[in-house]
Formats: sequence, structure tokens, C-alpha cells
Amino acid sequence: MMKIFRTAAVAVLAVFTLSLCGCVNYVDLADRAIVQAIGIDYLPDRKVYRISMQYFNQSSEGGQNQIDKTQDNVLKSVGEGDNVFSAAKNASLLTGKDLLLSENRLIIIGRELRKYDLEQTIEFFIGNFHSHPQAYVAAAENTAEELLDIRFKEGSTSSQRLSDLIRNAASEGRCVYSYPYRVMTILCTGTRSAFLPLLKTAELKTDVTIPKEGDDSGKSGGEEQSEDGETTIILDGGVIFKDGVELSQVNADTSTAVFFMTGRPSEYSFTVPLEKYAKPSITLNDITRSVTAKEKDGKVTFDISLKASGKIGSRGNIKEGDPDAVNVVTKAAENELRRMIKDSVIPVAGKGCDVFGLENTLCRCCNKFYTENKDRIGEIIADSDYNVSVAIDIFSLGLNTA
Amino acid sequence: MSRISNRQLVIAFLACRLSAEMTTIPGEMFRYGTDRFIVILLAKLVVALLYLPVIAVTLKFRGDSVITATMRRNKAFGITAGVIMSVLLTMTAVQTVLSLQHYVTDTLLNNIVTVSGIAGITAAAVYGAAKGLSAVTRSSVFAAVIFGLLIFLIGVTMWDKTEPDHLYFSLANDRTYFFKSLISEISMNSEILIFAVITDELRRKPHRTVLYYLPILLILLELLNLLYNLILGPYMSKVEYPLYIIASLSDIVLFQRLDGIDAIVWLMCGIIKTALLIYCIGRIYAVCSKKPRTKLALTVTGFLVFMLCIILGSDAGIYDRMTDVMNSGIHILLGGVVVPLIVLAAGRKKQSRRVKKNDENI
Amino acid sequence: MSNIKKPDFSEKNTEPVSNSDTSLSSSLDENCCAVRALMNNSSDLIIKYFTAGGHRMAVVTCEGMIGKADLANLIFRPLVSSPPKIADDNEFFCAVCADMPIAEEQKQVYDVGTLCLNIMSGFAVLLCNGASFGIAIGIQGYSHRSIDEPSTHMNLRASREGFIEVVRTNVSMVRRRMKSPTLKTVMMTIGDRSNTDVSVCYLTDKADVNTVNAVIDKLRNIPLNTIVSSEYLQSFLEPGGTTLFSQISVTERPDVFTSKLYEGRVGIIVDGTPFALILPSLFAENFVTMDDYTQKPYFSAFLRTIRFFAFIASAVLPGLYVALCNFHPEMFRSALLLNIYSSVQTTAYPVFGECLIMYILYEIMREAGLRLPRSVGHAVSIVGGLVIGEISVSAGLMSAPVVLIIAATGLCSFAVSDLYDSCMILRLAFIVAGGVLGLFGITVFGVVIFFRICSKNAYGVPYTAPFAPITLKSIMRDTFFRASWKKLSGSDMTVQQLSGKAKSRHSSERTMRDEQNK
Repeated sequence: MMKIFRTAAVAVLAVFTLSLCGCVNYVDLADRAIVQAIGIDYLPDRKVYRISMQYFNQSSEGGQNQIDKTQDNVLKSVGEGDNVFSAAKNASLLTGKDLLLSENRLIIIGRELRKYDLEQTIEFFIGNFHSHPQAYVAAAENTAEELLDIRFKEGSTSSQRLSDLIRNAASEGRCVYSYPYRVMTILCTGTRSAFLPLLKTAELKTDVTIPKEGDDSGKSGGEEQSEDGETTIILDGGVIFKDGVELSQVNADTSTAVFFMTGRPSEYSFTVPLEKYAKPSITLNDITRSVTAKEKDGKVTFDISLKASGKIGSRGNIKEGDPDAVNVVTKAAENELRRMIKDSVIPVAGKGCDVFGLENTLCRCCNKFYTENKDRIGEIIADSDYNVSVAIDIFSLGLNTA
Repeated sequence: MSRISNRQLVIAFLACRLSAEMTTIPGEMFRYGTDRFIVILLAKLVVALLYLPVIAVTLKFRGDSVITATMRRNKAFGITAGVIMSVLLTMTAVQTVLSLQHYVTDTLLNNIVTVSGIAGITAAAVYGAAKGLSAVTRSSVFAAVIFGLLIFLIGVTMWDKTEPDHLYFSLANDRTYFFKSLISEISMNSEILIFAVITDELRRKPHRTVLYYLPILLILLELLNLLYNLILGPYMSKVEYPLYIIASLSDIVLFQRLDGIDAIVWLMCGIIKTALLIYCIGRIYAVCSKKPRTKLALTVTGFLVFMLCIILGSDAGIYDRMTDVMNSGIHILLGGVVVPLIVLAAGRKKQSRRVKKNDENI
Repeated sequence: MSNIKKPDFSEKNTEPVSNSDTSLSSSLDENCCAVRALMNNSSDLIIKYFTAGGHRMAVVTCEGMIGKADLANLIFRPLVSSPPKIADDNEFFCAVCADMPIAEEQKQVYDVGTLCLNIMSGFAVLLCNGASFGIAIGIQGYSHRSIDEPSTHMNLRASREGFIEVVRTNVSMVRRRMKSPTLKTVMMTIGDRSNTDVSVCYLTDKADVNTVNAVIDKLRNIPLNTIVSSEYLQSFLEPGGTTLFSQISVTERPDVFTSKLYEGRVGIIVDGTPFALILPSLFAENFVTMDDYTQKPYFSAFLRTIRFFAFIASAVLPGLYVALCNFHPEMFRSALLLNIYSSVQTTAYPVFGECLIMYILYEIMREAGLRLPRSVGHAVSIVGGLVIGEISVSAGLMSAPVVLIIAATGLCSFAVSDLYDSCMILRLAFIVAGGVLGLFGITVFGVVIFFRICSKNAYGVPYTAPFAPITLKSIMRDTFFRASWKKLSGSDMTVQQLSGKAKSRHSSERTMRDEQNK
């Protein structure tokens, strides 16, 4: 009896399991569109969101999984809707494929969209548990779609170059890693500020030539193709946000200042403007940052101190054995860095925008004052004084490595 | 009856609690800031006090559980206590399954049908309960190992993304939040109900379980909170499942993200917790009915939990109300404190009556 | 059947009793007739009459079961050339039995049933007219396979000897490796028809007396008529019946067998098969080989870890692949995802279907290749590898990753050969679970498997020991990591100590001592 019951139970379970195949609405991998980059624009005249996507073109992978350079490695899809979600859905409907956001490497925010709350836009990606957590968020100088229309053939997908561009800039200290969760982290502070790197189109004016690959004749590497005059994308400064909306565009120096104040600086190279020694380059290592705040009579003073070891990367006109060279270069480098930080922090902070993590410092150093004035952090930051000190210790002239 | 060691129960409890910490997020719970460190510490101290009545019962009645002790004294009282405990355990099981189901559909499998999810979790839990307490507690060792592996991998891959500055942020000084989250943290200790039912299945000195369990849990929770604060910072208060987000940021060689492993761990722990809860209901039935075979009772309980999950899970309003009730900690107070205290009082009364009777006889 | 009495094989009485009530009479002719009658006048029954010292005698043997030279040298020559000079038949035969050492194994039989059983076991039974008993003389000389390298559980540096089909030779191999008086072997005959010799081996000072008695009891009550392999006994000895993971391990190696006995286990050697049974067996032992003890500890640890991961991969990988492809493609690394994406675009079936088909094809190929003659086996490999593997991918029927994964998991399952059958079933189940419910299905099914494994207790020892319940000392001693011999020699551990209880009080010696004290 028990055996019959057991057999029946197994049979019912098997039927139930097989019937479950219909219950779970899974999408076959072949029916998905692997999104590589997303651009989001807002069209104010029609009051709609417009999403442009680059998704992977599987036809670009030739036989034996070699990359077929004759084809575009990404395809484009566009969708419009009343919000980001519906725009994405419409893009999916137009493509005929289910969107897979897990490989999306880049989220570009168009100019018009930046006039509206950034948090809502980014929340779409963070709320989607399948989306890539380490995609970069960037701002477009004009429309995001314009940037996504430019295709790059190197790498497996076009967006790889753009994400590599931001990653490389962040590792070089030109901007911060703008992952969605990091942007959200800073957006969640009192001033709801944020910083995004700015991507813009530019015409290529270099002597760079690249080998022509995968032409129809099957030759490779024989001919060369010049990219001169072609439109490309560059990273130039960034956009700062306050209360979730764009405050202003900032230059590359401010990007670097944000990096120094909030990032984890380990190495940074810059050129020291020095007449006597022309323009030697300095590479800073072991950079330590210290930001403290003092409060007196409701007035806050922030002390920003940077210490770094460094070496001269490119000598410029420095002669070997010049005894004054180290001192002169060090002083100039310190002044240059001090100027860069001061000129970046004061104007931005003066607008009550806190992309430098000053609220955190205030909380840490003047907790009572912070708690009492939590609602007017923006004003306090705007009214504060800023002292910047930089100490660079050049232990090597870099003569051996230059 | 095969007995288990304190160590096994401690690991099982840790699995239960860690699962609940991740999948049951009461309102205002995960606000970012250093306050939560203090909240966790205080909550565990209070919870240690809440365990005292159950420990007192086991010490007074020589290792008997609350239900066994009541049944030995008075059958009617025992059955009443059993019914109360069964109801509380069933509600906890329902909440656990629903939380897991929400967690699964929110993160891991957003297109799974609710019925399939609940059915899968409940069926696995009933199977575990039918296999016995040893099977469930031993399984929790494997879940704990996978959890340890996950935390290790997260630690290795995320250390460069930690931001020590976040730790100084926001000593909120918000008393309402503080007390709300303190009560929430205290209420999230349904293990006390399990402990009250199965103390007689421990090999020796049941109070040792609490002695090991609470300090380890305190350390683990503080470490997890530290991890959330260091990585997510102010964004922590906006995310539903912090560890899931952190795991999704972790990139190891084999997998681009670890959120799948994170979900596996919590799902495993959740099923183990549900299995323990269902086992406890079966145990109450066995003690009250004096029938050692409880498979039918376990199956019925599983079906009941399944049906309640379907009914309660389909209405967000009812579910929210149930969560509010559970978050207020009433079930812990009732099952973990009031019932054991009544048992203790009844035992004392009986004892004093016996002493009186002896005196009269003399 | 009704007149056949079941033999008593308890520890106290290991001598098989007659399975026929007919006692031997003092008439030689009557006895020979009774034997012929019981054996149904079988053609392989040989009865040789002869006269020694004026007494009529006969030697009863089974054809091919005895050594002919031994028969001539040990029985005929001494009896015919220098018989005891006693006139009375019975006294003469008693003198032969008592004073003439014919062979080392020599016993008296009093009934026809025992006589027949003995001759079928390779004994020669000497009968004498006027004596109502026979003398069974062990001069077994049946042909058997010589001691050879075992075909399974191959090792690099361990012993090259493997068990053979003869139980007594196997027992002698164990004895040679364990020259300890505490090694006890209990010989019993099981199977009403086959009367198969089974030897139960254990160390009296190590094995749990309850386990030994339980095993002997179970063996005694096995209702099988015929036993031709040790696996016949396995399901009767398995606690809880047939299961996915067996709590009884099988070995062809006397060195493994002996070392397991030293850990307090009970071994069973069955006549007619080179595979001996050892119980209780633990899950962790499936990843241990004899070579682990002959190599450096760190290398053994590495190999054991590899085997463990091979087992996990073998069981879960195809299911995981299906789950990730269908439900969680975000978990793949980018480049891998793009490759998989490109490969599945051109295939005819969804990944779930592909995996199932490929897996079943693989198992068919394996099964076909296993039982065919070697020459044909090569053809199967060609068909399997070239046609099914290569052509199906290029024809767009299967995607290359699926072929690779099924092949890789097949390879992994060979790394843990003891768990091959479990792996096979688990793999199929995980493919279905992953294909239907993704990682959720795999997790739920995995938890169910955990519950199942963890609920097992083989003769008082948890199957998942020493991991669950945790015994730290044992984990550090010999699980994934094997301590060096210096450390291993310092502590003496038996399998009963892994029961999760604080102290083991199971060794038979201590138990017996306790009982004596009581």
C-alpha cells in the first residue's frame, strides 16, 4: 500500500514538475538582446523619454568565434515612453527581443534629462537586479543618442571603448569611478549632489593610423587607415548635480579635484608649469588625503591637506646635477596642485554642491553642529572657508626612469 | 529519539537568523549610520534576557521543553500551550516563506509564479522536517559553510571598494528611529520559539546553546553591518537587500557577480528555518498526542503553511499587517516569555501545594 | 524446503549445522546411496571405494573441486600404505581421524546434508564401513583466478594485490596484512540454494560489538536463495534500504579493507566475488584513495579537494549551465556570455533540451562502449566523439558549450568512481531542476539532497560525519586534509568516535569489560 502511495506521489511530482515548465516564463538566451550601452534623453517638446541602446550583434562573431570586422559589433535600438521603464519596454518591443541589462557597461545621461531628478533615472538601473552593477554613468554634452551613433570596431563591442575610456581616466585620476551605486551613495547625502564624467564628440586630429583589418579581400594588416578627421568621443571634465539636477559643467581640473577628495588616489601624473625648467612632468605616489573641519561661531573652516611622494617623470629642461631643481619643481608642483584644488573646490562648494564629501567631514569633526544644522548643510558648505595645503616629497629626479 | 548537540543547534539557529536578517526587512531597519551598531548590541542584550524564562524552565524541569513540562503537569494546560505555540510557529513559518518568496521573485527569479515558489520552499521544508531534527541541523552546517565562503569571497573582492569615511557619518540621534529599529531587531528572534519547543532534544545543558549562539550572532551581525556601512554608505538606507547588492558588486574569476550565490545561501538558510519551524509543530503534536510518528502532522502543517502563504501573500494589505504584528515582537513575548513564565509559576504553585500537603501529613 | 533447517551462524556457533536430517549410518553403502540420492545422482559426484587395512572405505568428492595430487598424497597413500592396525571398523576410523594428520583442515561430519555441503565446498569426505560419521578433509583444488592487480580503484604506489573470487584466499590476504589476534573472522553460509561462504571480519578491540551483532543478524536473516555477488547483500545491510548514497563501501583491495577494519569497521567478504563490503562508510570517504596515504599530505589534500570539486561539477554543472543560460545569464563573465550567446543562436533546441539530449546520448555511448568487445568499442568512440560531437555542432543541432560541458562532467564523474551512479542520477535531476526553476530549483533540490544525506545514520555513525555533526579533530585529521603519519600515529581513532557524541564507548573490548564489571 505504502509503495503504491509512494509511486503515485512520485508520478504526481513528475507531472507537476513537467507542468511547471509552462509556469515559469523564462526567455531563451537566443531571444535576448544583450545591451552594451544605454543612452537616455528627454525630449521636452514631446515630454517623452527616449532610450537608445547598443546591443550585441551576434553576426559580428564569425566562424570559430573570430570577430568579424566587416560587420558592426552592435546594433541600435530606440524606444520612447513616458518614463525610463516604458521607454525601455518600447525599445524591447521594437527590437523583438527581451533586454538583458547585465552586460550594459555604460549609462549616458542626455543634456535635457539632467534638468530632472537624476536619482529616478539611476534607480531604474539599480532597481533592476539584473543590470550590471559596475556600469559607468556618464553625461553627454548634447544628446546621448548622438554619442551612441558613433561606433568603434576595436574590442568585442563598441561600448567597450567608452567604458575603457572612463575606467582609464579614473585610474589616472582624471575622474572618479561613476558606478550607479556610487552615484546613488553621494546622491543620498543632504545636498543630493553628484558628479558624472562628461563625454563629448570631437574630431580626431592626430597622426594615429590604425591597421586596416578584415577587409573583403581577406588581407589584414597590409593597408593602413587613418582616423584623422573622423568623429570620435572624448572625456572632458564633468557635470555636477545638486538636489539631483544638473548644476553646471566643470572642467578637467574639477574632475581631478573630485578624484582627490573622494576617490582613492594612488597615483597621479601632471605637468608643472615652470618657465625656467620648461614643463617637467611629475608622478605622485603614496598620496594621502586629510580633510578636517573646524567650527567657530557658526562658521566652518575646512582644512584640506594632501601629502604625496613623487618623482619627475619627464625632465623638461632640468639639467643633471642641478642642485635647485628638486626644490623648485617641488614648490611649483605643490602650488599647482593647491591652485587646482582650491579653484575647483571653492566655486563648486560655494554653490552649496557637495561632490567632495564635505558633509561627511563635517559630521565626523563637528558632529553636534552637524546634527543641529542638518537641514542647511548646503548653505553651511557654501559659506565655509577652505584651506588647502599640499606637501610633495620628491625623492627621485626620475633621471633613471625618464 | 536522536538527540543533537548544542553546537549543532547553534549553527542551525545562526543559519535561521542570518536568513531572516536578509529576507525580512522591517521598516526603518537598515538605516545607514553608526546607530545600528548600538541597536544590534542592545537588542542582543535584551534577547538574552528574553531567553531566561525558557532556560529557567529547562533547568527547573530537568531539560524538559516548555511543552513537555506543561504536558507532564497538566494535560489540558499542555494542549493549550501547544496550540498557542503551534499557532505562533505557523505564523512565523508563513512569514518566513513569504519573505523568501518575495526575496526570490525580487532578486533571483523575477518571473517565477508565486505558487511554484511557495510550493517548492514548503515542500523542501516539510521533507527536511520529516527527516528529523538531526538532518535539519546537520544541513545547516553546509549552509553555514557556503555562507562563510560567500562572505570570504565578498571580503576578498570588495576590500578596495570600502570607504572608511562612511563610518563617521550620521550619528542620527533620532530616538524614534532608534527605538523602532531596536524593537524590530528584538522581534527578529523567532528562534526563541524553536528553542522553547526542542530543548528536550538537546544532549545536555540547553542553556549553553544560548551562551554560544547570542555572542556569535552579535559578532556576525555587527560585522555584516560594518560591511554594509563601509561599502554602501548612505545608500544603504535605500536598498532592500544590502548583502545582495554587495554580492552583485563582487567579481570573482569564475563569476562576474556573486548575487546568485548570495541568493542560494539565503534560500538554503530560509528553507532550513522553515523546516525547523515545521518540525517544532510536529514535535508539539507528538508530545501532546503522545504519538511518535508525526509525518502526517508535518504534511498537514506544510499544507496549512502553503495555503496560508497563498491566501496572505495574495493580499498586500494583510501581509503588511501580519508583518507589522510580527515586527512588534508579540509572538516572541507570548511564546518565548509568557508561556514559559506561566509554566514556571504553575510548577511553583504545584510544588508549594505539595509541600503544604506534606506538612499537613506530618 | 520445509524439512531444511536454517543454519545458526551466530558468533558462538560458527560451524554450519546440517541442512538435512538424515544421519550417517554405519553402512558404507547406505551412506553412499544417501549421498547419491541427496545429490540427485549428479554427474559431478565422485565416490571412490577402496580398502585400507582390510576396511572398506570410500572417498566422496565433487569433480573439479579438489586437488587430485593432494587426494593421492594425503589420503590414498598413507591410508593404503600404513593404515592403523585395528580390526574394529569404528575404532579404526576413529584412529584415522584422531592419530593420522591428513590435512590441516579436517572435521567430522555426521549427516548427509553437511557431507554434501562439504564436498561442494571442495572437501573430500572419507567414509568407512562400520563408522557412522565421515571425515571431511580440506584439499580444495578448484581452479580460480590468481591474485592479480585489481581492475577498479587503481593506485600508483599502493599494493598491487587485489581480492579474488575465493573467500578463503581473500581472508588470508587480510590476515597477512593484519597479524593481530584481535582480527576475527566469522565464516558463515548464506543462501538456501547457493550456500555461499561469507566471511565477516572485524577487530574485536576496535569494532562496535553492536554493529557486529547487527551485521551478523542481518546476514543471518537474508531471505535470498542464491548469492553470487556481494551487491546482493548490500541492500539488506543498508540502513533504510536502497539509497542514492550508499553507506556501505565496496573495495577490491585488501589493503583498503584492512585499513578500514583498523578504523573499527566491519568487513564482509563473499565467496565468488572479488568485491568486499565495508560498513559503516561515510560520505567523505568517497574522495579518499589508498594513494593519498602514500603521497605527501599536501598533495593528498590537493587531490581530495580536486575530487570533491569534480563530484560537485559532475552533479551540478550541466544543471547550473542550463539555469544560468535560461534564467541568470548575468552571472556569466561578459566574454563568455557573448560566446555562448553566439553559439546558441544557430542551434535547433533550447539549452534545456540540448543538455538533456546530449546527456542521454552520452550515457548511451558510455553504456554501449562499456559492454562491447574492445574492437567494437573503438568504433563507438569514433561515432561518439566524431559524429555526435563534431557533426552535431557543425550541423547546428547542438551548441559547442553544451557538448563541452557534458563531456567535462562525464570526465569529472570518473574522478570519483565510487559515486558514479549517484552522480548520474543527480546530474539528470539537476538539469531538470535548473531548466524548470533556475537557481531556485537547483537550490531547493540541493537542500533536499542535503536533508537526505544528513538524515542518514549508518550503524550509529552519521553519514556526513565528521562535517555534520562537526568533529573538528577528525576534520583536521583525515578528511580534506590528511595529517602526516607522525600526527596520525599519535592518535587512535575509530569510526564510532564520529557519532558526534563527546566520547566513544563503543569498542567491543570496553563494552565487554563494562559488562563483566556489571
